[in-house]
Amino acid sequence: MGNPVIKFDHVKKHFVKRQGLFGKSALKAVDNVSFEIQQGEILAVVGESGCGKSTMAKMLCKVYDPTEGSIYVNGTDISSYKKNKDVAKFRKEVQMIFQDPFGSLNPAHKASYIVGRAVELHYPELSKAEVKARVVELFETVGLTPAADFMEKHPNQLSGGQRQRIVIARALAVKPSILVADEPTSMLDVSIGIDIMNLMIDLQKKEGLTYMYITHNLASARYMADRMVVMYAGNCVEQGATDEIIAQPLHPYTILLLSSTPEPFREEKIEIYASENLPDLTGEMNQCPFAERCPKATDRCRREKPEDYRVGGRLVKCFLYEHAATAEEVGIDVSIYNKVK
Amino acid sequence: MDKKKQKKEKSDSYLVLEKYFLKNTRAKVGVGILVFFALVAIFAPVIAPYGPKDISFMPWEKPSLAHPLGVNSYGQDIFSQVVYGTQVTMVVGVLAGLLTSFIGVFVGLLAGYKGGRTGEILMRIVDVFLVVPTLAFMIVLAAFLPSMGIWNLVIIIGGLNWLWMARSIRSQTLSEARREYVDAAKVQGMGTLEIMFKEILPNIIPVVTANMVMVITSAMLTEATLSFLGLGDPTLISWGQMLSVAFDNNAILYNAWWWMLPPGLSIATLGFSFMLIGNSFLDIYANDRGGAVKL
Repeated sequence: MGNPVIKFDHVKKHFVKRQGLFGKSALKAVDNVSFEIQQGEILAVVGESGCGKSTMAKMLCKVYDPTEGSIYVNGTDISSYKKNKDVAKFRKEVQMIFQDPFGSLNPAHKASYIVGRAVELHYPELSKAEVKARVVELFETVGLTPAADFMEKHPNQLSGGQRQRIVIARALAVKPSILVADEPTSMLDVSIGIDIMNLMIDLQKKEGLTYMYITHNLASARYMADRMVVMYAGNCVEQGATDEIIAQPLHPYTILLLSSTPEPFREEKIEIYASENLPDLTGEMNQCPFAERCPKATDRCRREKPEDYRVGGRLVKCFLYEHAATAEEVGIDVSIYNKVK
Repeated sequence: MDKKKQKKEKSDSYLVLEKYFLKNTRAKVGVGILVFFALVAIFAPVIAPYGPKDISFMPWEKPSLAHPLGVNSYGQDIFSQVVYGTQVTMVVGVLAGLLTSFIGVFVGLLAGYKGGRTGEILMRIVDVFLVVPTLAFMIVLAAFLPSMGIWNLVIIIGGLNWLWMARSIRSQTLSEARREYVDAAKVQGMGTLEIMFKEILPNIIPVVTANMVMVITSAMLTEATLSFLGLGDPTLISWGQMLSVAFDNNAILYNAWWWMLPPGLSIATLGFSFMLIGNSFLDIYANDRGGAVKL
């Protein structure tokens, strides 16, 4: 593997919450996450709501700064970009596709202004006509054709799928090399969602983009991504090639996640074996974050925090895999969710 | 093709106009009254039969055809004074209101968007000034200033009226700044000022308008108050000044209702028209957002 384009190095993000008059407590949205993304790769970040996915996306886009640890893009720590000029240069590399196409487009502006402004900001040398030509080109790239029909519309006159295409056009306007997509299809109908995903894959092939694709939907992760990071309560519990993780999940949380995916041809209804205690993100974490819900939790899981164990090409944060290499070996029956009629 | 597009665009802004004005009886009435007073102010020299300061009639004369609103104790025509008074009241109200709005919008947007220490400091300053009784503070200021011309009135009123407006704009900005388009603007690399004025401000325009209207009303009332208390410019003819002179000359004892009622009712009606506009805009804006918008 060559040099990674994006590298999260022990990144933490704690939000300080005030309690009462003097009390303070930290909400650990992201706790010690490390992973790398290679050039031209699509990496999916998967996890349930509140596990820190969006926080990671916003850190990578410099909306938030990490509390600890560093994020490297093309080998440079992004927190070292302080001057406006450097930040602008960074923005030209990394752009974001937002989750909510209804909230992320300013209702006060026309579609052509929204996209055109992004072009102007990063290519101030272009004339008005050139900016307009570029906007038309972008609209056509994302499949809003004929562009003239959409240019003068306000976001509230467009459908969800059309809006999400404008969000993508805006992100592409600066010609970035890295796109961070924060659940781009979660607010859309399934059939429109697949169009958006296909559009993103096409763009990736054409322009050689690198994606960090954030989703709670395993099916879309499988469809899009080469590699996958599974997050739980701000921790990265398992990472590796998407196909491998889907075919043979290791971490108990990954197994839970996979078994909760609806599968119409599954033979029997699966009882979700984990309790529904949601993780407490505020406390001092001296245990495995999943211990409270894990059916295989031992005393050790409640006493100390597991490290990443390497299993083949994968990293798993679970004591079970200190020596074992498959889920069967540690006594979890994963065959049940693969059994189809 | 081009024509068709233009038509569509027109209908878009027409929709806003329809929503906020054409289907809004309160706003229509308010604007009607406002336009009436504005016309009176502009065409005062044409409308008024006499000069506002002419002393050429019998004092205490009751309303008649020659003097529709009678004559005051100095022998001045009251109708002409009310007509000319419209000018001063509206100029002071609108200018002080605009000054207030500029400061209020800027401080509110900055405190709401920047948040953190900047916002905290700005809001503490606002709190401190809110504790000081505004009218008393104005009286003290007026005592220190060499003269109380129109400009001094505008500056004193405008400089002390923006506090509530800043708070209300800040609270709207706080909720607006949490929306994702603001993050999107940051990721695109827009600067702070651009995000404040080009991204957030257009979305809170109804609140700004409603506030502005309220502030203009209160500026007019403050002008009347200051004049009534004798802190205005005695050479100006304004409604507050007229009431002040009427009070000083025992108009009540002489039962001269024609001297007191017209300026008083004019102040009330003009204030009412601004209130109608502001409140109706705010109601529509609040309905769009689930009904919880505090001014």
